Amino acid sequence: MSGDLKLMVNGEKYLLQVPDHRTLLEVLREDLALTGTKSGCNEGECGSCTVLIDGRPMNSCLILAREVEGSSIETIEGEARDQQLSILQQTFIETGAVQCGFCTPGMIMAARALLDRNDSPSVEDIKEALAGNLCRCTGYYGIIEAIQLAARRGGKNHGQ
Amino acid sequence: MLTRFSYIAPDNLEEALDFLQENHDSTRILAGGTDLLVELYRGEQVENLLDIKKIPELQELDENDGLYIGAAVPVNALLENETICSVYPLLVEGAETLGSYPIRNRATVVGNICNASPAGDLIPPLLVLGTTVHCRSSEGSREIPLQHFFQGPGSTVLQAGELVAGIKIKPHPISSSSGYWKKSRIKGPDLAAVSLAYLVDFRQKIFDLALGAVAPTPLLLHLGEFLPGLHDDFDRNRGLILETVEERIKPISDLRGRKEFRERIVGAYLERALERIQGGEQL
Repeated sequence: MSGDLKLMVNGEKYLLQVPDHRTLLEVLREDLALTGTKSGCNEGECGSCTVLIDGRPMNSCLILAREVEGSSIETIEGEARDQQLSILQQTFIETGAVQCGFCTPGMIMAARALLDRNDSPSVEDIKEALAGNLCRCTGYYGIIEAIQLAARRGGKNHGQ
Repeated sequence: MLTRFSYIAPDNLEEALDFLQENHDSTRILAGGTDLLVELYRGEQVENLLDIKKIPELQELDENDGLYIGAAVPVNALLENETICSVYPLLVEGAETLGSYPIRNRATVVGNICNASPAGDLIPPLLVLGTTVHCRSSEGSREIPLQHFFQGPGSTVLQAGELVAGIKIKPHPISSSSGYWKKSRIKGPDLAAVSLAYLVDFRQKIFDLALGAVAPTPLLLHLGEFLPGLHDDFDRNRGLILETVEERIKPISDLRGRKEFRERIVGAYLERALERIQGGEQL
């Protein structure tokens, strides 16, 4: 079985025909070629597939594409605008928050959602917001620093 | 990739119940999906997934006269509700330990119950708060006290064609003391090796204790008879309570902890609870 799926991804409208058993993660990566969102554990443990659905971070590996009919999705590809990195992306580079980079899209989307609801988060707030995102390279401190720095630079807004 | 199935997402409860009645053998109910999809990835076969999130009456969250939580309400909806946060701190403590923020955006309160894990994070708080499970089928409805809802790991008393529409929690007692502790392997998202919630209602002489992950089902123990004794002879009654609890728990050894470890943690948490209760001025 399959069905029509209307959704908005990074501000663009899509009308797709999607088999019932396909996850949002698969549709983003394979049908829309938005491969910035990573496929990690497929259990909701690692957070590398984190996207925003109607502004809330969720694990796209645990969501069927058809469940998000009519929703607005934001992925890492929507962070940079007009060829300009977002403040968050920029601070991730500056603080060494990126090593292998596999967790980075999920980290940035979780951080984006955090700044949307709290524009000056404490270290504890950041740790809590990122508790579902694993990084095996950086030891997390660079990531926490990047988010604090972004908050100070007004990272709630995308641009510089 | 998941194996193939049909996805059905009705927007009214009657349609969902009729579908479930006709297809109960081949249907799983999809709410948050944070456990169900993991099962499907691991090869669990299912013909139909019945998504209940688009049914308006299952999205209800009503904090007047106790608390009603519909089956489609995600855990974060509790944490973002100011009334619930101030009136039901115990529920908030349980909710905050469940998974991660993105998981709580998806996972539902009722799903945590329906999975019937002995370690379900919300279950001990819900048990001591006095929760009734509101079940619906195309043939009618029934109310089941939460402590009678579980049959074993992953097993509930729900019958074919029946689903949980929501849960009802009693109005919170004003003259009360409560606490919740969860022991897990890491500080971040992890299932409980042991969890314990208690609630004392000093006026009504109620002392309810709920334990997770130490028996095939979550346990609810009524210890109100020991409350007056705790005041008069704390040490003796503490001993009696510990004995009563030890008799009821049946922990196993697994990857989250050995049997003996679980027993020790239960004892330690219980001591902590009793000391806190003894310190309560209203005892």
